[in-house]
Amino acid sequence: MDKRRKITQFITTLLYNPFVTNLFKGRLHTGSTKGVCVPGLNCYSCPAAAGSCPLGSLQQNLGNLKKGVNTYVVGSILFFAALFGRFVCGWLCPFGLLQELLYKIPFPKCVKRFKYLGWLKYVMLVVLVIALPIVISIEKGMGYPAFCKYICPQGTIGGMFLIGFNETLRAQAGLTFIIKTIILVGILICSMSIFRPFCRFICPLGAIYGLFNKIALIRIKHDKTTCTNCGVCEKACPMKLNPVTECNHADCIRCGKCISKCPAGSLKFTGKK
Amino acid sequence: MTGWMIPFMMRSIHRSKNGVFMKKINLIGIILLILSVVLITIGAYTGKVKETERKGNTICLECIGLG
Repeated sequence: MDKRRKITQFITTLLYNPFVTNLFKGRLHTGSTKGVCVPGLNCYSCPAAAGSCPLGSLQQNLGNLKKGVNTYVVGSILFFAALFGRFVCGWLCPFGLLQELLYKIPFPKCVKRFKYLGWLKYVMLVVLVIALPIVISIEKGMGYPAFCKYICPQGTIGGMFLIGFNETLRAQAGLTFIIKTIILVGILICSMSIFRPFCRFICPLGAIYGLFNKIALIRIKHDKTTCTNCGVCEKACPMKLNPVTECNHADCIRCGKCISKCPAGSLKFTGKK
Repeated sequence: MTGWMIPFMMRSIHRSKNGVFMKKINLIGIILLILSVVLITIGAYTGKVKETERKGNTICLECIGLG
């Protein structure tokens, strides 16, 4: 299953970012595909991006609520959440793939769960994604996507290519970009030691999807009648969860490692017999 | 709508000893999916797709850390 997941992650990354040549031209791809919200975190200001980031689009809308709620963006997020939950994180997110690849680098590994640090992503969601764009728009008439502006490492990667190959934009790079670059480098270094630190502790999109993990149509089911409580699934879980007691926990990214390791076949994706 | 439903569903799952609640969860998932399709359709009819496209087609300076 892990091989299938990796292939899906690579294909998804390419589908989200097919215009690779744009990376070296310092300009965005423009076209009607940008009207489509992709499920995972993928900045629409990345030169190679074909679609729009749901989180960025949501913040843009919240920062300009005079035009009304963008039901299309809200509906898209709800659609992915109700259908997949955090399956999106495990299978359909390019930044998740990047972190997983970095985790494969031989480096001292930290296997602690950091349970309470997991709440940080909800703080990010409430403060930077929802509250700040709204408050700023009330104060100044027009808000900005605060999470994208101050934190989002995915946008920084796209920004690096834009700055590198576009002289006009390079002249505008200042302190905010330096801070964002430090955050990006910090996350990438942590990714070598901790499995998916951004997804576990920071990502607000993962926080939204996580809230729907227990009611999403694609989820993991645990058969108590066949389970022997051997603990193999808990050892296999890269998110440091116990699939027996915390099945479909908000932090579960549905990577399926517990399913493939379970010797009794007690864990399955819904719909699988 | 979903705000008050989620905590209710969480409690329901913990109480669950059989498949009855799981069926309810599936039902809620389907209802949310239908609701999302309705919202997307409303958005498409009110020009929100074009609005999203317009935003996506211009460089968001804040998003890349320049704004």
